[in-house]
Amino acid sequence: MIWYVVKRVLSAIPTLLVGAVVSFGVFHLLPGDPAAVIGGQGATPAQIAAIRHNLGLDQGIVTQFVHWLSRLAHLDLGISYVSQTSVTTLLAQRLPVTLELIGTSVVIVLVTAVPLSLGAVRPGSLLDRAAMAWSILWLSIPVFWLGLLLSLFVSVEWGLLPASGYVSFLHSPIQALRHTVLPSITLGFYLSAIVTQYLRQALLGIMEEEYIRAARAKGLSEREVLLRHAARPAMIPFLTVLGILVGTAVGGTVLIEAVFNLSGFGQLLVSAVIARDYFVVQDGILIVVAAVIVTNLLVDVLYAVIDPRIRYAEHG
Amino acid sequence: MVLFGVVGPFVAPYAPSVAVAPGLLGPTGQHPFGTDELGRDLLSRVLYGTRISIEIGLGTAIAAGFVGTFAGLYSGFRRGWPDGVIMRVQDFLLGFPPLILAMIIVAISGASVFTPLLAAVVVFFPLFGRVIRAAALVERNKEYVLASRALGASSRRILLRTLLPSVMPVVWVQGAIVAAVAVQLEASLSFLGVGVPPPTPSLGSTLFSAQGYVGAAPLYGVFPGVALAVLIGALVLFANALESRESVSVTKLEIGLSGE
Repeated sequence: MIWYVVKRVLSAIPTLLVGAVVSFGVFHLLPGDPAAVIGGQGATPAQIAAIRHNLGLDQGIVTQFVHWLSRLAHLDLGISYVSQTSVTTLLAQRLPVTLELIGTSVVIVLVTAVPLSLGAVRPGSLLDRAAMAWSILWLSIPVFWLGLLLSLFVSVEWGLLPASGYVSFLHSPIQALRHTVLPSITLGFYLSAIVTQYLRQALLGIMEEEYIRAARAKGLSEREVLLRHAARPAMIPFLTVLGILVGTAVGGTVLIEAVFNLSGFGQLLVSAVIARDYFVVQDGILIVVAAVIVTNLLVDVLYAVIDPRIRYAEHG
Repeated sequence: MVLFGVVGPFVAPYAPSVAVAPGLLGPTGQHPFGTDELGRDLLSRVLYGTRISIEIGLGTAIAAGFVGTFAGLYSGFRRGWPDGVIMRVQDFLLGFPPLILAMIIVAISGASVFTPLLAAVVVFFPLFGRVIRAAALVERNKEYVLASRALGASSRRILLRTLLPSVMPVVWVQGAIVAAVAVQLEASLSFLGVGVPPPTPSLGSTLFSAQGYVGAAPLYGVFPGVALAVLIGALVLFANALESRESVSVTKLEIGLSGE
């Protein structure tokens, strides 16, 4: 088991490097000259050259890449020229907002998608059809429109909950909850649609397996069949979809934060791309890539915990 | 809804990008959906915007379908290192959150009507590539393919004349799904201000403007959203119907991967 984990971790390193190369490449592919942008409109060629030199942009591309990596290793992520603060500080402010949003949405996903997908045990049942309708509905409605409607009705018309802004849980838990409800529902329903579709499909497959038929033939109750025989194999697709969710959720928060005016990581990335805030874009992309890779790694390891065949297959 | 988008521009009462009335009117007899903040007729803008959405959806499905189908057929048929390279590239593209990847592509290639399309094609062609590869792997060892090879058919002929027709049902289903998610992607990009540049009417950017006036003109944001949701919903249902008619199973995973 330990070997399996070590192997998985090691195999994630090249992928992470490729990710670093890509974020570095984006930095250089973005049109415009960072030094000229940082220097501002009135900068003389000499000033621009000085900035270039300071940033190391006058060196070879490989040297630049190595330098960037070594600075990353020291957690020095560079400076955002738009806000004149270090990217590390910015991230420390912004990431909690986004992580909190993703966290509360995942709770919503768990309490909606899991029970709904259980309908697949009896295809065509009322619960099963409800699950289908649920997922098609939220897949069709763009998240930002749902967010817009919610803020229109719940906040503006009925004045029940605030439509924008962020309050930290540490600061005031009740206010924080009130501010989280609408954004979390918006993101959560969308993610729930995806998870419901996927889990339903997976459970349909599992319920047709021979060992389920055997369990039923033994005379076990449906409850026991589900809990004892279907639950464990169903964990595998469940983990898979959780892995996929991370990427989708990060993309989703970009939109949700725009609708509800939350200054989180997504907003930071969008405004950085639009304003050509080079270092922020570069680091932001790297963080996204790393998050996806680490999640996949975790999912892989958990697979092996649940299903021994996976870890034996590796060095069988 | 498609009919709506196709004939829309002919029945639209006003030019979509010209101010014809005071701004932010509610629905009236002359302007059934009201007007936007610049006094442009909203019904006309929704009609034109729907057409843009359909163009992007269809365009992406066709272009990404073309690239992805051949990439998938080729890698599934040839195996070996080309297969490895193609799969790696596709896995990497799919690993990225689609919206963020698309945003970066738009930032690199500059804003125009075509960049959202380009971005959608890059983001979504792997959805075809992987599914088609899986289908090609199954088909390549079937007897009719072996027979065709025994008859001396060239690899190219086998690929195009023998394998391609057999994977077409999968291509159709996947095409409908990709069209749905491409519509959503374009709307999202435009909502963030990096999609179709103004003054071209896009449902996403219209919704973005509407967001600023929820208080003053509550119904502003409702109509474009309905159009968008109906269009995407229709495509999703169409994909589901195709899937059960052609009795192919394209895993629902692909829908999940393609969202925001």
